[in-house]
Amino acid sequence: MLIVFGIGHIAKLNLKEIHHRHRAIRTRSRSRRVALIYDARSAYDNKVMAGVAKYIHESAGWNVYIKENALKDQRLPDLETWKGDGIIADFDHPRVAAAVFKSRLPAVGLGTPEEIAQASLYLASNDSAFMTGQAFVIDGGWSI
Amino acid sequence: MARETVASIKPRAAPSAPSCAPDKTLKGMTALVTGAAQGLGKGIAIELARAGCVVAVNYRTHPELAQQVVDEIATWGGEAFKVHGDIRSAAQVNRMFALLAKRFEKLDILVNNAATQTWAPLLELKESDWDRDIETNLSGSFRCLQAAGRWMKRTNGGSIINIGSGCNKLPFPRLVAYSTSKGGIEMLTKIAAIELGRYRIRVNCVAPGAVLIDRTRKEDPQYAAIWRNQASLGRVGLPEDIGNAVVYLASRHASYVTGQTLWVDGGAFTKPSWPYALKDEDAVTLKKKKKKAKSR
Repeated sequence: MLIVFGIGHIAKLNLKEIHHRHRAIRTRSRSRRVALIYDARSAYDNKVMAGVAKYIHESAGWNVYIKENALKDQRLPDLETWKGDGIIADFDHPRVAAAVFKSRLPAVGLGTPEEIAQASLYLASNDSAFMTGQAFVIDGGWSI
Repeated sequence: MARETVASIKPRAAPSAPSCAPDKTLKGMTALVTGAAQGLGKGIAIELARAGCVVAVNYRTHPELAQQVVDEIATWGGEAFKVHGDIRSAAQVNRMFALLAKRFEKLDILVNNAATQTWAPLLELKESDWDRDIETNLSGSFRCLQAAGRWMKRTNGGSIINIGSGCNKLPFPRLVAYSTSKGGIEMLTKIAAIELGRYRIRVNCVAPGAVLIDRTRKEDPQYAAIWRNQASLGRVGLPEDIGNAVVYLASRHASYVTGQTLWVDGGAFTKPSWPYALKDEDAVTLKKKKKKAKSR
């Protein structure tokens, strides 16, 4: 299975023009490197990653540069030594999860429609026969 | 009053709403349930075993009751064994986990269920009772959570379920130590979920409402009838209701759920204290009745 390891080079351009008499100085803030790890053969995953990049750009105003690495030998990079700021990954893929697990960087997982459906299955079934009136939060801990 | 049975309390399951986990969804997984010799813990251990887990049934003072749980699970082909440990003691918790490490390659599920409670007005509560309830319910859960978390971190994840209560958020008069400890459980759950999520460890809480077990039967002989009126679903809870919620949270079905509290209370603690009695007829029917009365 081909897994594309896309390194997102997210650069925040903070242009400050300081006019000092006849001089103009521009400053640029630090760029950040975030690894996006997912199965590029999956149309759904591609859409999710595009959405993630779009969200980062629209909400944080950052410019997002995606550099995709097609892994010919299907080996995931050694995330234990990779120097970056964070990882966004599809944890459901066991090889991806195993690779991310070795890293000390902050890592964010992606939810899937199936995970929401499974919660619906629980709530619809007799297993939740003593539950009512609850709002069920399925967000990987985002809102806590 | 005749003793209630499961059949008399819980309506027969509708054929269109079978279990969401009929396929032994936890097959091959390992679980530790604290305080599993009786009550809620027993119900949880049984449901986990029914879902395919190998269950370590923790007990503190009644090995014979723990053995009964193990034997009951064995009668229908499940697998369980008893393990002693007083969760108020760090040394006993460490010894218990060392024993488990010899039996289990990894621990998939921890259920922090063991708890004590003291009914007493705040101004009369003895400090020794306060200490016992806090040490068991909150500190004991912390010790087991930390030990399990360290183990699960090494073995690529797991699921921790803390058993809370309506007292997680609602203040119960005359139950100050228990309520305080359960409020602490709510926050322990959330912080643990935040800190341990990166190790693929999910941490959630199940907050049972009124559940009919031996302890609550002793609380009031009319316990089931009293709480039947409080729950929107019109019945008291059973240990299997809580067990099913634990099985769900432990399973892959809840793989994106963490830091949450599942209120399994029949709607009792969602319902506000509303001064107006709920009328059976809706507004349209009432309007028709008024019009008919007027036309006479």
